Amino acid sequence: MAGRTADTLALLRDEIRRMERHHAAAGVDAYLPTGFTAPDERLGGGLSRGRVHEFLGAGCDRVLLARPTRFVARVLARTPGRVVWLAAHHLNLHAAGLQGAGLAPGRLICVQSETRDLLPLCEDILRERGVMALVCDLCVPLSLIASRRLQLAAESSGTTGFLLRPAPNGAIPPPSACETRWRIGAARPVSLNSVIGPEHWRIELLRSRDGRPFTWTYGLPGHATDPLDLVSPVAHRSVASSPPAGDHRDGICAA
Amino acid sequence: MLHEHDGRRPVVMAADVMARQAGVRPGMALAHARSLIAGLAAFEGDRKADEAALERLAAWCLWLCPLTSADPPDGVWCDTSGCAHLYDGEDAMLAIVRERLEALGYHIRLALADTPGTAHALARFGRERDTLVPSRGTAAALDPLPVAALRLPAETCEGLIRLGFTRIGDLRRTARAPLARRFGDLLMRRLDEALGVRPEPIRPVIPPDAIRAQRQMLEPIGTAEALAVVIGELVDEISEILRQRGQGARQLELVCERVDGTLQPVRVGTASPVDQPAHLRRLLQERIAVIEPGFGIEVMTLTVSHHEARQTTGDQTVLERGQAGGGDLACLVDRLCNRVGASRVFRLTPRASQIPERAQAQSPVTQEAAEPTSTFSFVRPIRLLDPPKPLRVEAGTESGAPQRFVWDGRTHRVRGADGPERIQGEWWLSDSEFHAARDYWITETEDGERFWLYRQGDGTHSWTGDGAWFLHGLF
Repeated sequence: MAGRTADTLALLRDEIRRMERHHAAAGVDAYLPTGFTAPDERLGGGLSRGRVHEFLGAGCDRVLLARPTRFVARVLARTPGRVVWLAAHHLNLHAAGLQGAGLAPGRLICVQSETRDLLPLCEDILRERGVMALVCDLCVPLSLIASRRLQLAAESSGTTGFLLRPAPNGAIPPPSACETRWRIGAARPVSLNSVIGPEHWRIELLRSRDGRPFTWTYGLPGHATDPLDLVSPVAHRSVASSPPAGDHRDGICAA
Repeated sequence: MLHEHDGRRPVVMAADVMARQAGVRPGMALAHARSLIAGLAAFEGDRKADEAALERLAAWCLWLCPLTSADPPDGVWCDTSGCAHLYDGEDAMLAIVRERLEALGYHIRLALADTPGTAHALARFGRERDTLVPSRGTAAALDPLPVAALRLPAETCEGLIRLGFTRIGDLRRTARAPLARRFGDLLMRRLDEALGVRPEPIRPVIPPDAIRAQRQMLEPIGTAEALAVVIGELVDEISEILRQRGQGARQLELVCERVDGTLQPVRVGTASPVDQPAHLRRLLQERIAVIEPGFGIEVMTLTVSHHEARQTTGDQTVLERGQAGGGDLACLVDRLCNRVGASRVFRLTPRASQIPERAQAQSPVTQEAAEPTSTFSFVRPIRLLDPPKPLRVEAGTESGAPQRFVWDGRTHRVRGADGPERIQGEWWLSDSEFHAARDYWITETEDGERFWLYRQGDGTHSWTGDGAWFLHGLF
């Protein structure tokens, strides 16, 4: 009996928190930490929850979007709850790679839709409270109005949206009403050692609602030769409280 | 032999095999038939009773599938979509149907096709006693049949034959407009229905204990808001019945009857038995967009076409029942399934295979699988190129690692490479993979980008693969 009362109380608290979120954006879990310390500090704790964020790829990765996908998976790995992954084409996610980024594939609800249904579905899922986040492989142009609608839908429910936007011709898409826009790609390795060492990421915050654009370069250790390092700590327990062990910064420069 | 009165004289309504052999045909005058056969056993026919018996037979066929319908004067339609596997395939299913109906004393002809129209035509005009039309073989099966198979009025058939259209194939290959102008809309509609271009709803037999609710409107309605209100009322009514019976709906059928007499069916399914009005209402209201009200809808009927016992958990608190996250999620999954198709909503589950593209399977979201144990010992990219893209490697080291390759119109110089990771073909699956091997390399270019490349074959023996390079993913 005591247990059930506690459950009810927890549910009520949860419910109240959910009602309040709409009015008071500030709160303990108003941000989703990215796991990279400098961008987190810059954004006041991470990506805002209940908002829509855009991600672009760079270089050869601008269509496949492997690094942006890994970035998003790393963010989601630190959160609980189910994630809807929406794609208009064949969904080319690889379960082992998701697991490697720390996101358990079992948490995903994958949806393949027609291209013309993509944006309405996005909006509909973003209005849903039962899921943690929506990730969409957005292969269609996004107008300012459409992005505003998505943003409003996310705000109404507290579900966070991640739009992964391939750019086949390499052009940066026109501005949208999304909270932040990122470009995640590779950076030139510093060392001249011919052994595969740390991975070099270039994380660009191209646009954010209240702030200047910024660029960071990170080295992520132990990729190819030592898979254990990257994977295991994140997969089965939340590491939101502590930054991942091997996260170190190579250099920081303003763009 | 049965006879009836056509207003002028008694005529033959139906004749059995022996009478037919003697030359008796339906429509012939009774006196003529009597003159052909001495001692003809003639009984007065009763069309109303026949129709009632046909309805009963259609209801009897509910053991086969959830949707059956009488097709007067002498047929029964069964919508067996998704039922064949219960009887070990379509052939076995037809055999069972034949066996059971013959045990009841019926002479039957069976046809299984994609559309009711084609099944109707083949059951009556097909060459074989039992016909099974393969999926996408509808047009080919219809072509050799006479035009009378299209359920047309006698005068249309006569007109068509007079113009030289004897087969359905002739009609299909002719311009539509002149035919439609001459014979009216019905001809083209029947043709489209038989070919499956235009859907043909069948009016299903309602099982006696069906859970259904109906609203007849005083004024025809047509706006989305009005439809939503009516759906809300219907759902409240049936969810109350469902709750009393301890059942949950798995499939709902909403039929809207329009002023012009056509039916607009909407079908939604759920992944698990549901009796919550909010959940069902949401599923149905989402489908309002597919209803075409035309000049207005007069009658709306909501039927639970498939229901299952709900596993009730007694110790749920009011709050949980109201809006716990779990319920929301089930509702979301159901809505997504109804919107994009159940096969396009899935989870990724690991599968025991070394070949990267086979190492995962798509399984339904409802199925709660155990958390995958991490059996991957090598790093894998988060997205795979499907299919792998061929790529030109211009130079390689002695160990086989690529040094320079062309991708995306640019030459990439490899700064460092890790590998090879050799993956052998799964020879237990197919002979062609017996010797096949792939060597995977993780290569980092001078720009810091990491490619996941593989070479078909081990580089030494030609039978393991032709040595072509492919890009399978990026890190």
